[in-house]
Amino acid sequence: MGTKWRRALLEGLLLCLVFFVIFGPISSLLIWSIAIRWYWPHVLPQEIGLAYWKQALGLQRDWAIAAVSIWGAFGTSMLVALVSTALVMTMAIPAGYALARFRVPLKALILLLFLMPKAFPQQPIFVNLLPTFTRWGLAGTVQGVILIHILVCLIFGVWITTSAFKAIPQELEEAARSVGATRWRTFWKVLLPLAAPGLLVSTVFVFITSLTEFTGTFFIGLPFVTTLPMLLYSSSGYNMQFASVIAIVLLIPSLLFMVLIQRVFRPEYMGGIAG
Amino acid sequence: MPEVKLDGVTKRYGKVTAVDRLDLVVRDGEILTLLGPSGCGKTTTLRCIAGFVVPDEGRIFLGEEEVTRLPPEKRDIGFVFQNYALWPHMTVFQNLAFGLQLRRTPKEEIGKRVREVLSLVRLSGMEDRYPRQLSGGQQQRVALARALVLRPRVLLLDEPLSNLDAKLREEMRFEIRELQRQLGITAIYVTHDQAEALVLSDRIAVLNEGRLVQLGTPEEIYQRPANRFVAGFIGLSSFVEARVASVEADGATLETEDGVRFRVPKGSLAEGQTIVLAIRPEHVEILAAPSEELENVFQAEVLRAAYLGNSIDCRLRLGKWELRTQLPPGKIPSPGEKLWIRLPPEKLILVEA
Amino acid sequence: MKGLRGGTGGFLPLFLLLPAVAFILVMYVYPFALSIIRSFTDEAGSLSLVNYHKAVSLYGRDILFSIQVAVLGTLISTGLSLALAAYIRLSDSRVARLVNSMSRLGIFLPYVVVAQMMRSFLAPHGLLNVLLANMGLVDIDTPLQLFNIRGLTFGFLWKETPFITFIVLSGLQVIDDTYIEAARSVGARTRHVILRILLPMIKPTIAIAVVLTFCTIVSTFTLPYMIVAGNPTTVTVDIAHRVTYFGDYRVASALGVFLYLIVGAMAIYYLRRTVREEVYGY
Repeated sequence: MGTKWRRALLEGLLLCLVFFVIFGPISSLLIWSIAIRWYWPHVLPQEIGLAYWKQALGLQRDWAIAAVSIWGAFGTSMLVALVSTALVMTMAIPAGYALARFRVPLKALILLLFLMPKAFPQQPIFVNLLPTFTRWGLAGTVQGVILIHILVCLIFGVWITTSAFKAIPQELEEAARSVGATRWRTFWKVLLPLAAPGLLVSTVFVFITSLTEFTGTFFIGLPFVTTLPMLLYSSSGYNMQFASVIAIVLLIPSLLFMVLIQRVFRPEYMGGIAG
Repeated sequence: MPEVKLDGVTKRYGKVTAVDRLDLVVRDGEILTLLGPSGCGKTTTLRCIAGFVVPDEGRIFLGEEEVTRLPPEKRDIGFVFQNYALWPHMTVFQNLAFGLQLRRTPKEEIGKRVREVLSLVRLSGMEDRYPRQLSGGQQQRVALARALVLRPRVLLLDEPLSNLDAKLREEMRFEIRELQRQLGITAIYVTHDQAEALVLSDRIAVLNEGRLVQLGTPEEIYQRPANRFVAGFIGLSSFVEARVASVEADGATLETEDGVRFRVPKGSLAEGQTIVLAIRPEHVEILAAPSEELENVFQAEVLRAAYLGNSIDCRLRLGKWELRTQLPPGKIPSPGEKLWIRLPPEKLILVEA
Repeated sequence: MKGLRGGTGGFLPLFLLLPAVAFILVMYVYPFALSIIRSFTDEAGSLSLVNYHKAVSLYGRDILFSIQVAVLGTLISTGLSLALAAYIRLSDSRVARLVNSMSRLGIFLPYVVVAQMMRSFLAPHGLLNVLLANMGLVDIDTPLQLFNIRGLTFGFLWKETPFITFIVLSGLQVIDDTYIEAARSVGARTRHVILRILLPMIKPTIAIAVVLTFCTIVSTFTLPYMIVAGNPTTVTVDIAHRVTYFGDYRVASALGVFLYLIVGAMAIYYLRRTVREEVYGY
């Protein structure tokens, strides 16, 4: 029985360690978001309250609390994310269908195009787009930020969509064709409904990627376009409480996505995200 | 080679009892088949012997040593998997050498033993191939070689031939049998294929619903099935339920509820007892004409007949009972045609109802 | 049935791909080419290496720092991930399942949130130091300073270890139990099963995860920008400085080319592997 106990002890230690490493930083955010006063080196804040939450959510306005309403930035973020997602998916669904179902000429080259942004750093791209965007009057505008977000998200959209289509057995479409459905009709009536869960994952992932996009917005959008991540960044230097509130707001969609992907989970989708 | 002994082995998965108080002794040097339909517990039993599964109750012995809770890596067994489970990142040589390396066998010795066992399974020269470069049959033989190269105390085979095509499967049955004889190794073979079991076993253990139903040589199992399940599972049988109408000095008379009467050897039958007649297809004799002096002669009606090439599979109706038989190739009888048949009394198998 | 299975379908596939491809060409390939051209251009617009001279003399140390962080982060997170994934694959205990679902969290949280988390957690008066100080493990007057390579590496580990674990574990889950049992039956103990069977069987998967992690660490701007105080810092932060303070796109581009070079070999391996798999299926 000695080994059994040793094993239980080791597993307990591992669990504690993993728990601490993962939830330590997260609880730091949670505590800061409700801390009014927290003096070093006390384990817990001296005074807690929802003042920063209220102020951030526009429920109160108190000059003593260093926080502004986040609704403006939230609106900008939502607008950018919704428009980007819609445009990304209109491009990604046909592209994914073509990659999943056709022998595409120059396929290797096209795949390379869709893979390069995942392999190489994108920051130099944003930097070099900035002068061009300035010339076109897109720098510091919502339109410019949307274009950048489409660039960041399109790759993910195409890959997850492709794997979602590939996961559907082709025989199902062939059966529809064999009873006389056109390719167009087969796509709408057979493939699209079957691939819907995968497309949903793709859409939500794209939406969240846009919602939390930082680097591109930093170069193209600042200082005129304030999305939630930008607001988080600008407050993070001087105001731990307010920054924590925004970080938690930004964390919620990701957690919901995690739940979603566990529900309609197929490893292929993660392949699109990761591999 | 030691014998393998199972003593009251029981394994439950939730509410399902996969193996139910199984007692079994596999003799030194014999090849014993665990035979039964899927879900009968045969694979679980084998995995208990291998150590992949720890039984809830009961004990397992390899020779004198109790191994019930010993992890598989310490049991000194050879296991051949249904899917072969050849490690795809290793060559044939590496697959075979792995276990020897773990035992710190000297390099020359490893090379010698790998070559030896490869020639035994007729795969000499394939050392550097990867499993994916081999055919199914070759992979099967590598799997066998991998299990044998360690000279295990007992060889366990889990439906090793079920992924091969029919022709190869038949060849491999003999090959495995030959190899086992040649090496004199104790082997336990799991299969659901009765033909396979009949061909290669010294003894067969028929399992159903986790229990041992019958244990015996292939001949015993085929000719004297213990019950209706065994008679139906091993070989083809048609079943007729009947009551013992009378017992005389030279035999007994059975009568079905629709009035068909059979003569059978007396055995230990008692009047009024209900019994099941199991009739093998090869025991149905076709007569050219009715005969007065022979017993158990009936006129049967052809229900349907199917051409099988070397024979004709024919279903006959006798009273309300259906009998299956095989006719020699020739004219295929059409449904509704009447045939005279005879069921020799001494060939009829009687099992409990 | 032409075009349904591997047929060409004429121009239809190209037409379907056109919007996405055109967008990438204009918004990615064009600025990509631009970044390389700019890096070789001096103020007068002629070909020159002056930007590279500047980049190396001003930021040479940071280039090494970036490489150091990426190598360190990749090695440690890979080591931890392989151990975790193998443990989760081979154990059927509740602890293993719990560790598995907890570790997923890191994959999904965006870098900007992780950066803020680390900023508050690792600060000199942050929660980590608070806890360590109260346990008497650090001195109250000299708390751990973590807004440097240590904190940055920790942040990357926090985010990338779950990612590699997930990828490696997905690979391991596909391996049929019989391969493990076969190893056990020839006498392999747990460590042999992991090191000689499981991990070698998924070497390509591990390679992809390692490469992607390395590329991500080199490319990430958010985390170092938000948590590294002062020098040395990463090349991504230098690029931002060059652009926002000096409006100097040429040296920024030269630094960008250094980023390309750092990930170069690995990125090309990843591209070749993935394209080959997608096009030829192996």
